[in-house]
Order: sequence, then C-alpha cells, then structure tokens
Amino acid sequence: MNFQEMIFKLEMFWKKQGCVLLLPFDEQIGAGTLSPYTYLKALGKKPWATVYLQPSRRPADGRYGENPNRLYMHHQMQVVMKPPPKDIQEIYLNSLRSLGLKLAQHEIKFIEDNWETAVLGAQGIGWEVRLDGLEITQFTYFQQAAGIDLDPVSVEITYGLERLAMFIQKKDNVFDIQWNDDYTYGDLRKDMEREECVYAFETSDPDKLFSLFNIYEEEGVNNLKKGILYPGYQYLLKCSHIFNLLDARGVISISERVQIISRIRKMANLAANIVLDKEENNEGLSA
Amino acid sequence: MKDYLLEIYVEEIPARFLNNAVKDLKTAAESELTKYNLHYEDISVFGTPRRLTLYIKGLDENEPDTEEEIKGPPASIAIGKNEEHLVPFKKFALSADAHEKDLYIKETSKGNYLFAKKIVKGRRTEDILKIFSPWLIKSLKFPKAMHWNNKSIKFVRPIRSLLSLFGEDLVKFTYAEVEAGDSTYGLRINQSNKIKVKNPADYFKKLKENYVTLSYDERKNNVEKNAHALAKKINGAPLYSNDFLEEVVNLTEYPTPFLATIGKEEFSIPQCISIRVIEDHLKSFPCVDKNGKLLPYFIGVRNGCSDFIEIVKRGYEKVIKARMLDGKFFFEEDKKIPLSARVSKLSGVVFLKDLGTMKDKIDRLTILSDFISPKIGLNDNESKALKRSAYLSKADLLTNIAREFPDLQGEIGGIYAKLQGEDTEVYEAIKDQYLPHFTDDKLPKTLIGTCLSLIDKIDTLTGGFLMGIAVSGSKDPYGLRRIGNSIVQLLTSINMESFPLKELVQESIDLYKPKKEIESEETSKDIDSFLKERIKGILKEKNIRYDIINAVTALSLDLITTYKRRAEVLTSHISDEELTSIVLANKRVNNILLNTDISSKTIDKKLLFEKEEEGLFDAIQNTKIKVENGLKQMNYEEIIKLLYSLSPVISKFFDKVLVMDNDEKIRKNRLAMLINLKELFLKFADFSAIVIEKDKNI
Repeated sequence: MNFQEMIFKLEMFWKKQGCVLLLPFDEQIGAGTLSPYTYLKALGKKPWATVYLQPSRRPADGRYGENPNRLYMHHQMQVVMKPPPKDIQEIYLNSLRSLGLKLAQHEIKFIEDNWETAVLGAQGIGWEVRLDGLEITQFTYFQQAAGIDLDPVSVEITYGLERLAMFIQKKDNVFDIQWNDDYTYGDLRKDMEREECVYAFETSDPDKLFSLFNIYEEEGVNNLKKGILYPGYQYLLKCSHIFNLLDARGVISISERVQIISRIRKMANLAANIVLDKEENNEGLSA
Repeated sequence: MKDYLLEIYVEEIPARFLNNAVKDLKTAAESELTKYNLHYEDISVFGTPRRLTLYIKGLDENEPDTEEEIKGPPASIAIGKNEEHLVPFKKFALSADAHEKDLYIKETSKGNYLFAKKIVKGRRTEDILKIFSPWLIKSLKFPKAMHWNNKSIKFVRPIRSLLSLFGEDLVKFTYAEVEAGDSTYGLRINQSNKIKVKNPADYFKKLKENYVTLSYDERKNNVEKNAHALAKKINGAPLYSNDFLEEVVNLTEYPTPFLATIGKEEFSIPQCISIRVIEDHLKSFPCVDKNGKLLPYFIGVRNGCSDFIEIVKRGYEKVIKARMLDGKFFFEEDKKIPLSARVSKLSGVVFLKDLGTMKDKIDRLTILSDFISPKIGLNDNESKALKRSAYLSKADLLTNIAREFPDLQGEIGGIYAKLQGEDTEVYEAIKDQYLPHFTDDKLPKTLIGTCLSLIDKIDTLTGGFLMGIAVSGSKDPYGLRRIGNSIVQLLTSINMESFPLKELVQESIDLYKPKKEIESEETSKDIDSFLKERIKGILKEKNIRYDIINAVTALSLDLITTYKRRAEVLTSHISDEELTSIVLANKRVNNILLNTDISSKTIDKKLLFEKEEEGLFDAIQNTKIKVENGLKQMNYEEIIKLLYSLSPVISKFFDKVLVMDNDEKIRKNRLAMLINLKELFLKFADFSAIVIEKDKNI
C-alpha cells in the first residue's frame, strides 16, 4: 500500500467512526497537539471528533535528508475524540487492520508513556504503541490543558505515518517509501528536507529569529488580550516554530529555554481562557 | 460454600505498577472481608497488563443468623401490680416482632427492664459481594491514576469490563459505567476474543486456552528459563536486573522470548550505549559472554505465542538497527566537541532552583577538591587529578548521548574523557562519580573517584538543606535520603582512621554564601544529624544490634569511616565476659560523674594514696599509648583486647578506693581519673550504651 493510499484509508476509517475530516492547519506546527483542532477543542464540555493529517516540523531532528529514519518534517495522522468511545483501543487496532496488517502475525504492545507539553500546560496519560518493537503511535487520554483539569477528557491518537509506511512497505529508508506508484517519498521530499536543514542549522539568523519571536509574541498577546482567539493563537504557533528553529541552531541555553517556554505558556493560557469564557457565556455550559 | 471470582479488565496497566496493585488487591480484600461474618478458605490474586483478578476460594453463601437482644421499657411501667401486661408491654412486643410470652425481665444498672430476643437473619453473600466488589475497586490506589469517562472515578487505566461470578451465579454491580458480567477476554491477537465464563474454575481454564498466563511467577520463570536457554546457544547469558525483568514480564500476558541479532556496523559503539538502546528502546535483554563482554545479540520477549515469531523478530532487528545507528550518530557528533570546551556552557544549565547553575556547582567542586586533597594526604598528582575530574565532571550533561539516555551521565563522560586523552585517574573518576546509586551498589574504583563522588554529593546535600527541602516520612523530592546513604557508603569504604567530614561540610556551606543568606551553624548541625541517621539505618540493615549502633555512632562524625568496622568487632565480642565487665564499669563511671560538676582532667600524682589508684593511673597511661597506636593501624581487634586488660585494674580500684572522699582535693583528683578512664574507652565506643543481659533482666 502506498503512502497516499494509507492516508486515504485512515481518513476513511475515522470518518466512519464519526470524525470530521479536516485539512492540515495552515501554520508551521511542531506536533499535531498544537493544532487548534486539538488543543483548543480539548477544552470545555462540547463533544468533538476529528481526524486530520498534520505535517510536523521538528528542526532539531533534521539530518539533511541523509539519515534513513530522521526527518525535519514528518507526517502525523491525528485523531481526537471527546469523550472517548468505550472500545477506543479496539477501534484503533481495527484502523491498523484497515491498512492490511494481520495483527496475529505481529506483536502489539502498549507501553506506558505519559505525554506532557510544557508550552501548553497540557498533560495526558497513555502509551506509545509498538508494533514488532517499532513505535508507531502515541495514544493519550488528555488530562489537563492550560493547567485546567479536563472534563470530559479527550483521547488523542497520533500515528507516525512514515514509520508505519516503512513497516508496511518493508523499507529500510524513509526516502524509499512509495508515495504513489510513480513517486517515492525521496523524489518528492528530499530537496526540501535538505534545504530546510541548511536553513535551520546554517543560514538562519538567530538575532533576527529572536526579534521575530518578540514581535510575534507581542502581536499574539495583544490580540489574545482583546479576546481575538484564532489570529492570536496563530502567533503562538509562529512563536513555537521560531523557538524550535533557535533550539536547532543550539543558541538557547537551558535557563533561556525555561523562560521562553513560560512566555509561550502565557499565550496558551490566554487562548484557553477565551475558549472557556466563550463556552460559558454563549452556550451556558460551565468549564 | 462457593468460589468467588472478580476480574477487573482494563487497558494496559503500566508494568511498574502491576505487582504492587496485585498485592494491594489482596490486602484490601482481606481487610474488607473482616467486616462481614463470612468464612473462606483462601484468597489468591493475579495480575497481567490487562487484568487484576481476585479469587476467593470456599466462601460461605450466607452470614450465619445471629440473636440480638432488644431493650424495651422499664418493667415498672410495662407490668401492672397484678403482673398484667400494660400498654407499653404490648407496644414493645409489637415493635420487636415477638410473642408477649417470650419477653423477659432483666436487671440493668438502671433497674429492671423488659427485653426481647430477636433472630437476625444473616445476609446473603451475594448481596454482600454487590457492595464489597465496587468498594474494593474504588479502594485501589495507584501512584498515577487517570480519568476517562467520569470526573468522580479514577483508576490506573480505563476499566473496560468486569467479571463477577459467585460459583455459577453472576453477582451484578456497576462501576465506572461498566456493568459486571460473566465474560472476559483472551490475549489481544485477533478480533472478537470475548469469552463467556461458566464459573471460577472455567475462568482459569479458558484463559489458559486463550494465551493468558495469569500468574506473574509463572510468566517470570518462563522468561528467565527461556532467555537463558536461548543465550546458551550463542555461549552467552542474558543481562538484566530484577527490576528490569519485572518490567519486561509485566508487559506481557503470554511471554515468548526469542533471540535476535545485531548487525556488525551498528554494533561498533560503546557497550553502555548498546545496552541502553536494547533495554530502553526494545525492552529486551542484552547478552554477554562469560567475561561480561557484550555479544551482538539480544533477547526480545514477545507478548504472544510462537506463531509467526520470525516476523516479529525481523521487526525488532530492524528497529535495533535504526536505533543503534542513531546512537552512533550522536556518539560521533559528541566526540567533535571536547568536554573542556563544554564546561563554560554549563552556566546555561540550572542546578537546583535559585541555587545557580551547573557551572557554579563545578566552581564549588574544584574549590572543595583543593580543600580536601591536603587534608586526606593526596599527593600532587592525585590532587591535580581530583581537581581536573571535578572540573570536567558535569560537561557530559550537554552531550547528545546523556540527553538521550540520562542514565549514562558520568559513564559517557568518562568515555569521552578517555578518548580525549585525559589521564586514567581522571576518566575513571568521571565515570564513577555517581556511584553508588543505591545500597550495595558498586563503589568507585579509585580513591579519586570516591572523593569526587563524595564532594559532589555533599555539595548537593548542602544545597538541598539550604533550600529548606524537608526530608520527612515519604517526602523526599530531591532524593536527599538516597544521597545521604551514598555519602555514608562512600565514607565507610574509605580506608582511613578518620575523615575531615565536619570541615568539609562547613566549607561546602560557606561556598554557597554568595548565593544565599545562610544560618551556617544550624545547617551544619542538621546535616550532621541527618548523616548520623543515615549511617544508623545502614548499620541496622546489616543486622547490627541497635545498642552497638548507638555505641559507635556516639563518636565524632569524622570517625564515620570506621563506625562499621568498630560495630563489627563489638558484635563479634558481644558475649565476652570481659565485655560485660567493661560495659558495667563504664556505666558505673558515668553514674558517678553524672552527679558531679568536675571537668578538670588533670591528675595530681602526689594525691594518689592507694596502690590501686596508682595501678589504675599507670594502666590508663600505658593503655592509652597502645590504643592510640591501634587506632592509627585501625586494628580494632587489638584495641578491644587492650581495653579488656583494664578490667581487673578497674575492679580493684572500685573495691579499694572510695571516689567520693571527704577531702575535696582527693575527690577531685579521683574524679579526674575517672574522666580520663572514660575518655580512653570513648576512643573505641560509648560502651555505656551497650545493653547487657543483666540490664535486661532488671
């Protein structure tokens, strides 16, 4: 099964489970969780179910397209359901079967992995799912976002699509994955991988990036304080990406890191409060 | 009598919580059952990642009926003058549901009252279990629990099914929105693994047929036996700690070990990194040859049977290849920057909140190494090596490998130091700086390593105390207790008659002064008594009597290096008659001195009148020199013999000499002698703290 087919299969599978199929959020994002479709929707009482593909940029993981396993940008398939269905683990395993995997021939282990992201004040309890030793999915029950206990909780399922594709297509190198029958992953992605790495590790200007961070932060905070949610939140995403770029460049000391994280966290809290206030005022639901 | 079975079927329980959860389940069930009048033959409990199972064998089906006495109205108002039953009598009979003729009068402290007997029907066990089981589930506590569907319910992972069978009968209850039923699930290999269960015996049989081994011990034995057998094929042995074995076993319901291979190219990285990759990333066992050298194989444990195990094995081998290559990449990258070039960057790493950075720590450690070296007689080269290793000790925190595998801090630093041409003493010390991690763990190989580990830990301990981190009961957020225990173990391992610990602690406190307002004296006292508590605990673990522990720990903290040896010698002599007699002599001396306020130790020879006095005087002088010699050689066996030799002299002294003489000068002189005697004994231990049989009998 080629890569694009896998994407369709998973989207179709979760669409049938009642998830709304969304398109990737159009900002540079480090992890599917940061997308407003997950983070902002996990807050509050309203039920929610979605599936979307999220390209995830992690500059520090980039290897100029020369490492068979590590990428500057990879693809996550993100599923969020609030509240979680009772047989969600079984549903998830069925999604793997929908990709043609015969689970009886393999091994599935759910290994404790409690996920936490400081920038969002979010934490969850769950597992990494390993298929014959390969970590293919993070499976998490959100417990907190913006430091607020969630009720109801959401389940978040994040597939690492490249790993799964390498497993299914029996490839040792990510760039050998068949994207469709004519193109490989490498054909389509290798140039961009290389250039992104040259930029992140060599040609980016840390001073400019620090200034951009400050400008984005100011614009974001100003708007979030006025209750303008989505435009404000998009600046949080920009700040997060700038932070990742600076980190890859190795110019952030550990004490600076703590400080920058707490600045992004402040924006996340502002955004969360807008969501909860809106829900309370407009829907008469309490947080 | 019937058997009861309760199964809590959940999404995967973290391996590290499982065995305790199973134990807790048993304790909770036993203690809750005492609240009911029910007998049972036996309780057993089981746990796999997917289920916690309680099995009560031979449980009564009913509580027995009991008789209850009900108090009615006073006889005086219930019974008339002619023995007739008045209205209160009749009303009471009605309310007690008894015949009037069965009521009786009994005398109480408040006079005669009317009573009735009532038979209380025992409850049906089934009704009890309906309350007992949900209570039991609710009572289970985990170090980390979660919500999934209901704000008021917390469990380690979502509960997805409950099975509750009393014999063949379903005992219905609902918990966490799950209704208890009569089905369970086998190993998760295929869809629809739901199994209907007839009764408890059927449950055990069906699970076995469906690839679930309920017993932890059975799974563990299987894993150990097969892992050893597989490793034997490659002339090796699996390498694992008990904790890691438990984790691996508790990731499975039906473990099947298999042998897998590591490729040559990716195997060429330091052994410690390979081990971390195999354990952390694959939850598998490394294999070593008989010299402890790592072999290019590992043993994985599949959660499932042996069907298609070749496919699983190939998957693991592919993952190990990618992970090892990653490790290799990190290792090669790290090598490009020398440790010495990383030191200045430690100013970006926070040490303890508000107490500065790792660079500050390094600065303190280098000063402490200069401070301690001459005091413990290190030569020039050794002093330099200690200082250099202290300077480089934390630089590896900034390497990729240490970030990826925090357990390798220190060890990986030692490897980089060696590759970068540091001296043997230096890289060995860096490598061993975190040892020992726990009681009876390996100790640093060299004295330099021991000193580095020691000053690092004392610096952390001092920092912790200055931050006011309370260590009490189960509260110990920075692991100070463990650090204290390590300090004590390090000191015990040092072959020196004493160690300038108090000065070192004082210096360590002073070094924090620029960072923090300090109550220096108080902190120093707190650390003193904290370390004494730690050594007491460690000696207790070695099964040394508490009174012997008190006797040796009464000595100055600087003698901590010898506490254990002294205690061992005392232990081996505890039943000597001579020991009893010097213990009694010490107690007697203490009693006499207790009631006086003499503190002068000077003895005036001219005031010694009795020959027994002179005898004791001479004996003290002679023995003292020999004891001090013995202390230098740390020959405690000899010292105790020397002290024994004083015993007859002391007896004679007390027989013939009256200490509390009427002449003040003579009295003071004799008391001074006793002080000298006491101090001589105190060079070995506080013998008066030892409890002897006679004391116990009194």
